[in-house]
Amino acid sequence: MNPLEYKLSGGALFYAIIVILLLSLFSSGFILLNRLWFVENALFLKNTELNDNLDSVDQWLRAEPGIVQAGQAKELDLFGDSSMVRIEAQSWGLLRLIKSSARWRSLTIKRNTLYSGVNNKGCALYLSDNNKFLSLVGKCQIKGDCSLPTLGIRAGEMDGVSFIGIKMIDGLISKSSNTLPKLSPELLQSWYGYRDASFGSTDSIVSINSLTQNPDCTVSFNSNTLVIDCESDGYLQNVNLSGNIIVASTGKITISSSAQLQDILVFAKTIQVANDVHGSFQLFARDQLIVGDNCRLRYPSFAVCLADQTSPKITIGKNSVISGGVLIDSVNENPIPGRLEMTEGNKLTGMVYVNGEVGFAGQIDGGLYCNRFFISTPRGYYENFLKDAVINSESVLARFGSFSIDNAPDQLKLVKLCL
Amino acid sequence: MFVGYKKTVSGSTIIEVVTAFSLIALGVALTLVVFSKTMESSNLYVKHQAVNAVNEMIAEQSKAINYRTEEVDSADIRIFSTVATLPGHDSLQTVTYSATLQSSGKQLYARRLIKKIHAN
Repeated sequence: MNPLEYKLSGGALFYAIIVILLLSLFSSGFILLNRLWFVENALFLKNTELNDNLDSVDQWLRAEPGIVQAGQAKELDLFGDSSMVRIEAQSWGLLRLIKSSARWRSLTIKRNTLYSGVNNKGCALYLSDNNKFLSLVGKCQIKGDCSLPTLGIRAGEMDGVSFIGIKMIDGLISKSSNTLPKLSPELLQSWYGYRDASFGSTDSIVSINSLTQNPDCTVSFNSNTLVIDCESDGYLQNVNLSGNIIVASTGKITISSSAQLQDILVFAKTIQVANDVHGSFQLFARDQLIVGDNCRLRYPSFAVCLADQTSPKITIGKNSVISGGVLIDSVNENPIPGRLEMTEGNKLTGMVYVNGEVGFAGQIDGGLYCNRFFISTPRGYYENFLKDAVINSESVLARFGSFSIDNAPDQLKLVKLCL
Repeated sequence: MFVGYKKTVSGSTIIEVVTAFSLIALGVALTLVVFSKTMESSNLYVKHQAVNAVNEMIAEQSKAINYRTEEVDSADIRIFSTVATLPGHDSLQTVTYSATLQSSGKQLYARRLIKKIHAN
């Protein structure tokens, strides 16, 4: 038999088919690669676009807070071409929580953001007109516009010390009325229930005893609010709570320095913050709120005392700092005057609204609204006297947002992105 | 008589070889077309350049809080930004950033943002 007969009979097509199969495999690989690159590119572009849309909504909200009110949900077409973003506004204590989401096919991007309010015409000091001078003693520095009683301002003398500052007020002075601007009822109305242990319908309620088993707890704002019910009295120690959590009690809550609290709300009849507590949280007391020495309540922290039958009172210990705001008012139809007692080394940032009297010591970066001042020394009781007081509504810290008295801020400030 | 020659170069074998050669040539050509199209459509290097250039422009303008109409050429890519007031909102503006390939005019990357108008 001739060997050449075997070599050439029908073999070429067979080899060609194998080569073509290999080439088709290569081609399929390239087509697949092309598809993957296309999908990756589309995902990258859409991801960027959705994030840009959420950033745009953030800017829109900051400039025009009125587009969505607390409790409302809205769909915004940003550019008029179906670039839709859904926004849902809620209040979180004295802050505003905005839940925004943008979607493209199965890709959804969500953000939970906390905002604070800013009023463009906020003043450094609003002292209601009670037919008394405002007397300054020592190194007082008041920077920003002020609304003062008709009698005005003067250099005072207290225990042999007189005013030694350069300028009494560095800003415009206008006349105040005999009452403070009214606090908007909507500002805190939605939170009144927590003071009486009547919680929201969607809240997840657990007992404070559950914290002994699970002391570290973080709850997303996408989940239901976790309410830790202390019933009568509660003591928060060796716990780490952050996010969408409310601690509520009808009695007294004590916060120890071993408690790590972040973003949470605390409601009780009386709240006591022990010495050296550090954290960022909002406190809502019904009768009394006591902040110990050397506490550092970081921004955004708020101390609120809203009484209905007793005189609301907040006392701040030595060298303690509250960055965010302080609010003392009465929800009674015949308001009972409240009291803010500051001590040496106190630093408050943001809006300080006291429907009552203030024992001023330390520094406020922001605005102070009150009815009168008092200073009690061994030699006497001085009314409407300020000694070594520093109030600055134009500092960098003062530009951090706080709460708006009329609940209609001119602008919103981004506080933080949350879980 | 050359019996062996007659068997090895039969007509059918020649047709097979020619057909096989044609098929392989066609396969190679198609593979090359797919390969070149894949590479051309992805054009990753140029796209990355465009993305980086646009992001850099956004970062610069955001840092300076100065959103403005601007045009920058970088190799074959032209990056430009345009600013327009958001209709019905005096305090807001729409800033559009775009990168195009100068040679073909093809848009490589674009972003749109709403920004607050800051008072000077």
